[in-house]
Amino acid sequence: MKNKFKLFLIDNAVVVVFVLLIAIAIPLAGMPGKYLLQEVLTRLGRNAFLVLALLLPIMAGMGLNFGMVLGAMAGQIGLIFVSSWSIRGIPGLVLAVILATPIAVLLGYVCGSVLNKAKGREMVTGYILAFFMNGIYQLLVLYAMGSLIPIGNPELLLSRGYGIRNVVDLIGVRQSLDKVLQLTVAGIKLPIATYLVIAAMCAFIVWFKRTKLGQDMRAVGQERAVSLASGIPVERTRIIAIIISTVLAAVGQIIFLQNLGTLNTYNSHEQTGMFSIAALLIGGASVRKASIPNVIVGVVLFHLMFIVSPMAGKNLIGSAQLGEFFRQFISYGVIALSLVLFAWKRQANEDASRASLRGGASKGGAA
Amino acid sequence: MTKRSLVAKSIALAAIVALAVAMFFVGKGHTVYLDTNAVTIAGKEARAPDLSSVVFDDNEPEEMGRAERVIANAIGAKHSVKVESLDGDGKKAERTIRIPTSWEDVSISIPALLAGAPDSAVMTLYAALDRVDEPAEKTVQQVESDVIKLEPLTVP
Repeated sequence: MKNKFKLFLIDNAVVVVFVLLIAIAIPLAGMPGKYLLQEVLTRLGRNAFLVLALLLPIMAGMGLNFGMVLGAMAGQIGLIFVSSWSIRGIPGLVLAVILATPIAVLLGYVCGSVLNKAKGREMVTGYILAFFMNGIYQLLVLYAMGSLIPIGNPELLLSRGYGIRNVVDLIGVRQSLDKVLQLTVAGIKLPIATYLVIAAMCAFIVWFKRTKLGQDMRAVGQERAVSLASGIPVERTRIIAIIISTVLAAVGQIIFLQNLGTLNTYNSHEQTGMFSIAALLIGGASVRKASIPNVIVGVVLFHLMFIVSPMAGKNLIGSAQLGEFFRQFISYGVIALSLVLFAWKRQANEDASRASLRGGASKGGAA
Repeated sequence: MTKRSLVAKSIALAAIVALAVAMFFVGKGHTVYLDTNAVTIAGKEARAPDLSSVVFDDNEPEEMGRAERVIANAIGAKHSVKVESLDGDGKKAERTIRIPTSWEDVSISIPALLAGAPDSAVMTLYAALDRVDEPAEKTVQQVESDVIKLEPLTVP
């Protein structure tokens, strides 16, 4: 019983630490429960899709897809064009998704191919690849748009005549998905259409896991060499996992930005990967294993922390900035903690299996 | 790739392109300026009622006086404008207009609509008036006589 509890604590260390932190921070923040609930539900709609985009690469054994930032960039490019052409409402969002998809497929293919060359070091490669692609994105948005790529709306351009402004007002598509089927229950607004899209995405993931390709991905994730020997095209399967993840990240970024209503042209995508990965890990996922409940629990806990920490910091120390630093620290810290725990558990498992082999051999020898 | 799968993929691609084009036209946004300024149609001046109720699409009715301008956002090409004079003269007009896709900002003249003018007179491409930038303050050259000459302070 004691061992079981200890095992539970080890398996869910990140979740337990986070629940404890939130339990301390909520009373310190002194925020009304209704406000907290509204914020959490809004942020669940805003972020869940992005976090769901991380599941398939984990299933394919590629770890946490830091390269999802590439998809976020594709989503932003779609939104810039839609704003430039003044396409509003749901048609604007659909068009942004259609425009972003081929860009995301291309970027996903590049990312998947690079990650195939760096097997076993996918996370750090994806992270650096995101930095590299950020440079290309900035070149495209800062120099090519308005000069090589025509931008219809001069209000989007910098005063010099080319390059997109730092902030793009997404007034045409702002909350256009959230406001479809929006329900108000006891004063709390529920973006039902956004939740339905997230639910459809969850259903897609459940269905996809059962398909031939999904089974292949799981097999590749468990043991590459065995999968290759059994005829599964390992590299192709891994590339497909990254392409799907990148496309989903593009759609997720569009959903995220339509909720905010403002696109920070040069920064919005930068934190996408980090925050989504942190949320997933907080939900109890690991580098090897992640599920839909991990996504939901993670988004709720992570964003609850985001909401309460500035106020808790202000009430505790007298400075809201401290809370801001704290939440930055938390998002990076939780990733580090999770990776360390994963490495430690893997090492412990390897040691245990080695020890059991040695034990088995001596027993066998004795017999 | 088999011929069948090539055909299926081509159809899917064509469907996506068609959807994108449809979304472009269905979602094209316009800023509409409902304008009650007097206009001249065929040499005759048309004036708006002192007070009128203007309904654009399914928006809330706007009560507009003369020489006013109200902004409405429109999505797509086809829109309806309903005007009713509140001066007690019983004047009413309703029109369905089609905004060209290339027009971003559109001005709809309420007096022209009430006068039964053709669509070309009712709906025009909105052009903001050129702003004349004038300095906030004019520089006044100081003349010698305006300058108050101060006597040097003498410290006792």
